[in-house]
Amino acid sequence: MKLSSSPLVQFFLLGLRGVLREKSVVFWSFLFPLFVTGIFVQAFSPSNRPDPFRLGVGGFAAVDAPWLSTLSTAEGVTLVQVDDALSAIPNYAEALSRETDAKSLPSALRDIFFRQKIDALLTPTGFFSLKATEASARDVNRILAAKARARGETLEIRPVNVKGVSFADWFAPGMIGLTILTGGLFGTSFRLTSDREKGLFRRYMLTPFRRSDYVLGFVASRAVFVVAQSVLLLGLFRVVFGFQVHGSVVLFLGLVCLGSLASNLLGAAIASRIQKSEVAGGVANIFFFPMMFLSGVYFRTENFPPWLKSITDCFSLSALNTALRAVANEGLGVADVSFEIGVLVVWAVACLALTVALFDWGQER
Amino acid sequence: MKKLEKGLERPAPAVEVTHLRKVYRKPEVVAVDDVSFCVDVGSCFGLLGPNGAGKSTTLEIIQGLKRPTSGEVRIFGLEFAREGRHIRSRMGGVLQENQLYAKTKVREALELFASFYPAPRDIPSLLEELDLAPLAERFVKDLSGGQRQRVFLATALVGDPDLVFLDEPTTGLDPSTRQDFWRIVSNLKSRGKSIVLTTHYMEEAEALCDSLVIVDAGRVIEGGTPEAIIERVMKGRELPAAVRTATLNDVFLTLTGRGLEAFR
Ligand SMILES: Nc1ncnc2c1ncn2[C@@H]1O[C@H](COP(=O)(O)OP(=O)(O)OP(=O)(O)O)[C@@H](O)[C@H]1O
Ligand SMILES: [Mg+2]
Repeated sequence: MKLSSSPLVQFFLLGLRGVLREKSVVFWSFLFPLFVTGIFVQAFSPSNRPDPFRLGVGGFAAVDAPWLSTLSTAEGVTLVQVDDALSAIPNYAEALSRETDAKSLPSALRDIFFRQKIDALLTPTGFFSLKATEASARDVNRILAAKARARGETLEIRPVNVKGVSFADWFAPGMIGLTILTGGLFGTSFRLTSDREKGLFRRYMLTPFRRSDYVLGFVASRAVFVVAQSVLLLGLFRVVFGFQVHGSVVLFLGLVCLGSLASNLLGAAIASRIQKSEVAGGVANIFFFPMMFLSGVYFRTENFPPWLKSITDCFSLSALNTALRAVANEGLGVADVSFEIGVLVVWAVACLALTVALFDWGQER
Repeated sequence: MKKLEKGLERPAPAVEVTHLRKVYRKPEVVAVDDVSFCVDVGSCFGLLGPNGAGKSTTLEIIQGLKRPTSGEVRIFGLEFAREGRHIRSRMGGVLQENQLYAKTKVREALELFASFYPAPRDIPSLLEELDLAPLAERFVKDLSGGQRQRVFLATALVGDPDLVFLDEPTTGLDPSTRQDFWRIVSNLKSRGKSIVLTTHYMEEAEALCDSLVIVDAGRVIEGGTPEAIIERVMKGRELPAAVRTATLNDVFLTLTGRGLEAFR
């Protein structure tokens, strides 16, 4: 039997042509994610920040002067002397080591941070920052290293973030995740409802076609498309933003496939009973908006209250994003993302079950 | 229906409909009301009747798309409930309203439909037969209405079915394309295929159908071969002056009291 005479292959080709022959696909699948990433990287990437790192120093004796001057020549660091202000606060060292929250700092101390616009404060008793970002962590490392060098010490420095995840590194996997979700939620639900609207299911029902061939062929065509799309996006992100997958690319693409499966089956479940394609988009939005905002595409979920985070962790997009980031940025393996894989599998299976139970093939029930 | 003639090996009819009834809910419409008929293997059967008579509903029930409120349908002696897939592999159909994927080529659409059937026809020769060969690589959206209709006919025939359902297959076709269509149907008959069609063109029914029923408001009001019906209904009636002999059109107008072709 020729491969092309298999209905599964035919439905697969049908699905693939459906996307490839749509001109707008090029824009939405490739240019749009690239464009959005570009905008966000420009807006939020610390490496693009024009201001140098402002380091407040105070309370040091004259013996420390040499390494302080090394610091001031360090690229991207501006030293701000806060000696006077600091000496006016009698027990600043104690307050700094006690308080972790900017709001509960003594107001004089808080003023040093905000009035002088310093990113971090270096005193003989320690280094204090109100902005614990990866970038500032890297700067701390640099400062401490400079200090050690100046004193001729070999200080052992444990960098806070070895790989130095940039904003683009963090953002890119989320963008791929979002693209996968939109394709499944909107693309699939629209396609299926419009097929129903056009009476195509009724037409198929006159033939001995298998429903499973239709669903599998369609879902497979989407998965293949999404993998190709992700490979291209990875390439584009690499060229434009220097993004790299540190872990296994195969695992990354496997997760892309699984994410595509879960998203497309969600789209199919949504489309199960809807008769008008216009309605499908509206229903898809019910899932889209919470996921877009709460699944760590545009901002991190780490600071969510625990109860909220435990809910959003179960969103399919959260699981996908977390897993993609773990593989791409931290180089983690299958075992480390097993929870996320589990979440995606549950979504896929649940949506498949709903689709099988509810799907309207245009027959009279 | 039990076999009445013992020992007589009669092949099951292509279609056997008994006491079919269909009541739509919301709005409540009795679309088909106690319809019974039989389509012999290798014959062409016509369902005639004015708009809203229940022809499409009857066809869709026979094709397994709609459930009858009551009554029975057998196809080659088989029931949909038990052997739906087998029945569907032996039948092909054109619905009254059809659409295909706009951005699909004619050849691709036929390859898709061919893949559903156990022994499909050779696509190039089918395209040739339906005069579609020059359009094979065109997108469905770029075809004219009549060309598209021929593509639908092709999707119905691509599985090489033994039984073909055609709901108003020639509506909107030009006279010469309609002649081509008649030739295709005669071809099918000569190859032993059975055909059930609806039409609003009486000359078409007269030319193609071995037997037919006329339905109105869901009920069968006449049935038999075209000649027998003309004979029975028009006998002794006054014919319009310009017409020498009665045609099926006269029967239709006499029975339903409505001129259909006047609407077109
Ligand atoms: N889904 C439906 N719900 C309710 N009533 C319906 C439905 N479909 C058809 N009808 C009604 O059933 C009757 C028969 O319709 P049907 O489509 O079978 O007629 P038809 O003989 O094919 O007419 P036409 O020649 O116009 O195609 C009509 O009165 C129609 O309004
Ligand atoms: Mg009709």
